[in-house]
Amino acid sequence: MLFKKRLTFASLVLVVVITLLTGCIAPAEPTGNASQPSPQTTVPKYTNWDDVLSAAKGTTVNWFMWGGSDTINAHVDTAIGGPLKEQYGITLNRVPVENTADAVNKVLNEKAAGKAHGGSIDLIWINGENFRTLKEANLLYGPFTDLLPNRKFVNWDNPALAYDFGQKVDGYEAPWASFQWVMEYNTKNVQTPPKTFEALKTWIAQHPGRFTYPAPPNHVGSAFVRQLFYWAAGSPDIFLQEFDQAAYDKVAPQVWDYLNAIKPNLWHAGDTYPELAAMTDLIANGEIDFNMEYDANRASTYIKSGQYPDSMRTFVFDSGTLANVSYVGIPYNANNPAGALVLANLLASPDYQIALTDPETGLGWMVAIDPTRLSAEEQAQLAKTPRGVATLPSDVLSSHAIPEARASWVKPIDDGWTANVLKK
Amino acid sequence: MHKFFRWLLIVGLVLGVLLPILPQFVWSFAYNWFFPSLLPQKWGWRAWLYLISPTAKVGEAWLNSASLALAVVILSVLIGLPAARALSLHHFRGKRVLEWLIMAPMIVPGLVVVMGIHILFIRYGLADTFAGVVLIHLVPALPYFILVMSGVFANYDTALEETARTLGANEWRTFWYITLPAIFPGLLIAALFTFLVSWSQYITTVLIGGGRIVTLPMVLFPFISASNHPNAAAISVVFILPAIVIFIFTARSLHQEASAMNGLGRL
Repeated sequence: MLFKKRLTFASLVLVVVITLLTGCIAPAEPTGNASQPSPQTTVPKYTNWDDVLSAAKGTTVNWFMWGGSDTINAHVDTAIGGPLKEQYGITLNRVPVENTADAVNKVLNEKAAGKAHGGSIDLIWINGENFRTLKEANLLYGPFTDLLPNRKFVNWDNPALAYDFGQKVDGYEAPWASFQWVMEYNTKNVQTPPKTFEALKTWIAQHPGRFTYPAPPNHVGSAFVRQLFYWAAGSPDIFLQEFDQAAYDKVAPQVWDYLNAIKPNLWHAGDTYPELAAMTDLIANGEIDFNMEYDANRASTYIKSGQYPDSMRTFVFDSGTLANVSYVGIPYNANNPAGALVLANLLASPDYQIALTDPETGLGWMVAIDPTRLSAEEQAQLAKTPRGVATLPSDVLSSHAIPEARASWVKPIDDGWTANVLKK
Repeated sequence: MHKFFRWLLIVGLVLGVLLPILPQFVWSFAYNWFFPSLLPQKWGWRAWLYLISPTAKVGEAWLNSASLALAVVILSVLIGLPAARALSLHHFRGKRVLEWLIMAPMIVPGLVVVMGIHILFIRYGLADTFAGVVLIHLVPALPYFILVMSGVFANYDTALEETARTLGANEWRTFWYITLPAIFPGLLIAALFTFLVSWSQYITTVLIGGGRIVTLPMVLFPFISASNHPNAAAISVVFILPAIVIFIFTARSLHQEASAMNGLGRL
C-alpha cells in the first residue's frame, strides 16, 4: 500500500519535471535576443550585393570574439555595431569568448552533429591556427571576399594579406586590421633596450631574473622562438616555404643553444614560464622588465587604461619583427551569412579603417586595406591620426615588418622547444 | 567562556568570508595599483562605468545567470529529493552502482562530457536554448544536491512520519508538516550549493548556450584571463553578491530552524 503510494508520488514528480522541461523548451529564445532571424533550411549563397543587403536588413549577426579587452568590446559595440544598425538595420550581438578556440570547437561540434544550416555563429574574429583548422576541415562559408564592394581597397596581391600564416586565404576570410609584434619595456629600469638577439643575450646575463617569455605553444611565446629561428637562419626565406626537415635541423641547434644559454638567468631561473596574461602583471609590478605582444599599440592602450605604468615604451628588433593580419570568417553553417557579409564589408571601408587607427577614438590598430588606394583626402586624414604615447611611428614599424612563417613550421618549432628547452 | 568562543567563531567566520572579498572591492575602484604600494596609486570609476554600460552586458548576464540557477535548483529538488531519500533510507540491489553513477559527474572532467553532450543536444534541438543550458548545469549540480541531502536523510528518523500517518495525515500533510521542517536546514544548504554550481559554470554555458545565453562568468572570465583586474574585480563584486545574500539568509534561518529541530528532538 505504502509502496504503491510512493510510486504515485514518483510518477507525479516525473510528470512535473517533464512539464517544466517542455515548458522551458517552447520559449527557445532567451531574453535580449528578440530579433533572431528564423532558422534557414539551407545556407543561402549570394551573387549580387543588393540581395545581400536586403536579406541582411532587420537581422542579428552573432559575432564570436575574444572578450578580454573592455576597450575592444566597447569599440566593437559602438564603432561597428552603431553604423551597422543605422546604415543597414542590422543588430550586432557580440559574443565574448575567453579563447577563439572555444568558438572553433563549437563549429566542429555542429559539424559532428550534422547541423549544416542555422548554426549559432555568424562571424568569428580569426587568424592563423584557428583559420587553418576551419579551412582544412571545409567549415568556412565562401569564398566570399569577391562579393564585397569594399574589396577594391584590399590589395590581395600583397602576400602578407593573401596568406594567413602561410595558409592561402582564397576568399574565405576578410581582413580587419594589421598587427606587428613589438617588445614592451619599462624605461624606469631599461634605458637603452637591446635591439638585437645578441644584445638581448648579454642584457639577460647582466640582469638575472628580469626577462622571460610565455611558453610555446602560446602564440606569443611561439612567435618569440620563431623569430629566433629567422635570426639563426639569417633570413625569413626558408620559413615561407612548406616545412623542410633538413632546413629545420640545420637551424634548430643554434636556437636551442641560445635559449638554453639564457635559461638560468630567466625569471625564476627558467624553472617555469609565465602565462601570457601573467606577463602583464609581472611587468606592471616591476618583477620583469620586458613583455612582448602582437599589437604595437597595446602598451599605449594599457597606459591609458591604467594596467601599465606611464614609463612603458616599445621597440622592435633591428632584424625585424613578425607582422600579420586579423581577419573575420563565416562558418559554413552560419544562420545569417548576409548580415556577416555586410559586417565584413563595413570593416574594409575607408571610413572605418581610418577611424580604427586613432588611439583615442579607435583602437590604434593598423589598417588592413591598402592606403595607396584611398583618395588623397583620406590619405591625408590617415597620415594625421595621432600615435599612442608608447607606439612606434608607422614607418619604423613597416620598415621592420617580416612575414609570418607557413603554419606547417609552427608545430615542429613548438614541439622542438618542448623537447630541447623545456625538458632540458 | 562559552559565549566568548561563540563570538570568536562568529568573528572568525565573518572575517574568513569577507576578508578575501575586500581586495576585490578595492581593486574595482583602482586605476593604477602596482607593487609595492599597499593601496592603489590612483583611483578611478572606470571599471564601474564599464560595468553599467550596455557593452558590459552585465544586467542581461545577471538575469540569465539567476534564472538558470533558479531553474536548476527547482529541478534538483524535484529529482534529487526523492533520490537522496531512497539512497539513504532504503536498501536495494545495485545501490552502490547507482551511488557511483550519481557521483560520477564530480569525478569525470566536465569538458570531456560536455563535448559529447553538445553533439546530442544539437540533434535534439536543445543547443542554444535555455532548457539545454539548464539540463547541462544539472549534470554537475545534481550530485552536490544528492550528496548533501543523503547526509540529511542519513540522520532522519521516519518514526515521526509513521506517527503522523497513524494519526490520519495524508502523504502531503505528512511531507509538509513533518518531513519538510525536519530536512529544511539541510535542504537550504543543498539548494545553495546547487545554485552556486550553476552560477559559476563557464565552459558548459559557452558550448551549450552558444553565446545566445550570456551569463556572468562569460563576461567575467575574459577579464580575468586578460589580467584586467579593475574590470574583473567590479564584475566579481556583482558576481559574488547573491552568494553573500544567500549565505546571510541561510545562516539566519539555519539558526532558527536548528533550534526548532532541537525542540522537535526533545518531544
